[in-house]
Amino acid sequence: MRNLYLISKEDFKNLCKNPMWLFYATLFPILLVVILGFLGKDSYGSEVTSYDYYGITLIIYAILTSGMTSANAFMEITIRKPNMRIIYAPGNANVIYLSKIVSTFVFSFLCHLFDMILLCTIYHIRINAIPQIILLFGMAELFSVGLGVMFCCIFKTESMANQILSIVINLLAIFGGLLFPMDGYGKIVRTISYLSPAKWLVKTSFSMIYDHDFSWFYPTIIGLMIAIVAVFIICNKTFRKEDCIC
Amino acid sequence: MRKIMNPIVEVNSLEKSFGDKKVVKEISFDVKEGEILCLLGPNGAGKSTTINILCGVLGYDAGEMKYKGKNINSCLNDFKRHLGVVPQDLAIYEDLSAEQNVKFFASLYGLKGKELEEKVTKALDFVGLLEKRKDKAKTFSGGMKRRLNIACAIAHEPELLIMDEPTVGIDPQSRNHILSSIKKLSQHGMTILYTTHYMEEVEEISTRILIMDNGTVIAEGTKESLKEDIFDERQFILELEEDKNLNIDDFYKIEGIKKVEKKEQQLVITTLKNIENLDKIIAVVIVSKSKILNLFCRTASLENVFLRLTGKSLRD
Repeated sequence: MRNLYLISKEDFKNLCKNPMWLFYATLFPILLVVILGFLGKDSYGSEVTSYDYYGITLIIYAILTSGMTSANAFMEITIRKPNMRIIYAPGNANVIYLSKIVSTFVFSFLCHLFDMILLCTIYHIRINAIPQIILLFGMAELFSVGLGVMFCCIFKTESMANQILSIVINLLAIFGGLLFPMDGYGKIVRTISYLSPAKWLVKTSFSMIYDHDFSWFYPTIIGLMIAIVAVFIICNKTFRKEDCIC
Repeated sequence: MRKIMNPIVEVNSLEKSFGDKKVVKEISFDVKEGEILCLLGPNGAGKSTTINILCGVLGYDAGEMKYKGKNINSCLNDFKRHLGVVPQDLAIYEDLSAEQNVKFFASLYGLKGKELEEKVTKALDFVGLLEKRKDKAKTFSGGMKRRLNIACAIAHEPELLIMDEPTVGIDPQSRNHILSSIKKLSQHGMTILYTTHYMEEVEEISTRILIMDNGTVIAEGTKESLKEDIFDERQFILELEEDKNLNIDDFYKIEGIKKVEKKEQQLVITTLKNIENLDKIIAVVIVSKSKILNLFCRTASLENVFLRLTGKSLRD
């Protein structure tokens, strides 16, 4: 347990020192909201603005892309080599991937919380049910970060994991209506969009914020919990110590 | 003279395959307390695989490994606590300082507080990086990084230090520093398992040698015993002047002479090692009224031993 804490702390520090990941987790979502919000402002009313829409959907998009950060934190070559020495140390080898999940989760979640606070301050984005939203986004963040590590455990290299992950994330984002609403594309597309977990997150968030409707909250949370457990089990089954040998 | 003690590690009939390819074939050896055991072999001999199996990173197909008489799998964490590993690749954080690197890795072995500080300082001092302890690893030269790699492995003062080709690709000065550090560690009582494909390193530091090729151990012993056992001959090289009257056939009348070759001004005489016949060789030269300018005796090197055992040079 102490080693998990020590390794997670070191990984967290490494993430904070990397300007690319700081930009990707903090400034990039804000830039996306600013640009897409500005481009789409005429399509939205004055009560619910484009910033209200993208302020939620694009933060969810950013949360989904955290998997790429965790994949990098796990198997990027400069990290992979020191991982090898961690394997030689006493203790459970599972701390290697668990520490990457913990550190990336803390890093990304803090960055995204900062983004939300900043966006709410600048654009007065309406948010109700704050504890539920934080819990929902936190669980989604944990799932996404775990997914990135899981892809690394399966595909054994960071580049392969990230290539596949970016396709999966963008498909989930598009079908989930994160980049633009899908409801106007007919019944079939609308039905397909419910296959994407991103759609559940958007639907749950907007239901809670605008309709004070919490009926989607518990099913989504339970779904996320099952997904997180599944991701951890797959990590455990597919992680091999020898993959850490460079 | 240090006393060689009981085996710390025993490996019996170890086997490992990758797919259809058997890379470690039923190897057995032990590492005795206080010795520097060198695993010598060309690239692809199975040295690193053996090391990685021993460190618990790789699984194995058959065989048994013991740490102080106990099966390693049943006391893996205890074994790892007393094990230091210097991997072939630099396993350090480039963005951290030398001190932060050593401190982090040493803390994984349960060290903390004042004890951690002291051992980190000691390790950095040992590898000659104490003055550079605040500098980031990425600013270091290749040799300094290798030394830091060693400091990270010895800070927790392991009983057994496994070094996998720690001098690959570094300058001679750093190499000498590393080799003398290894000898010093051994003098302090640390047991060292050292893999390399450099003969000179083995000649310099080894207490015992294990020669590997194609996944098997082909010879084992001290450098002296390996040379003794494998070569029963030596060569005398005579540099001569005025050798017109010299008759090569006269040498073959001397007991123990196996081969005589004349190469320009040099006479190369191969003879059995255990027969004292140098006086008779010199006598033949004197009788022929030739003048000896120089005389050398060449005995077998480890390179010759390897060549004799495998039929190929170590760097082939």
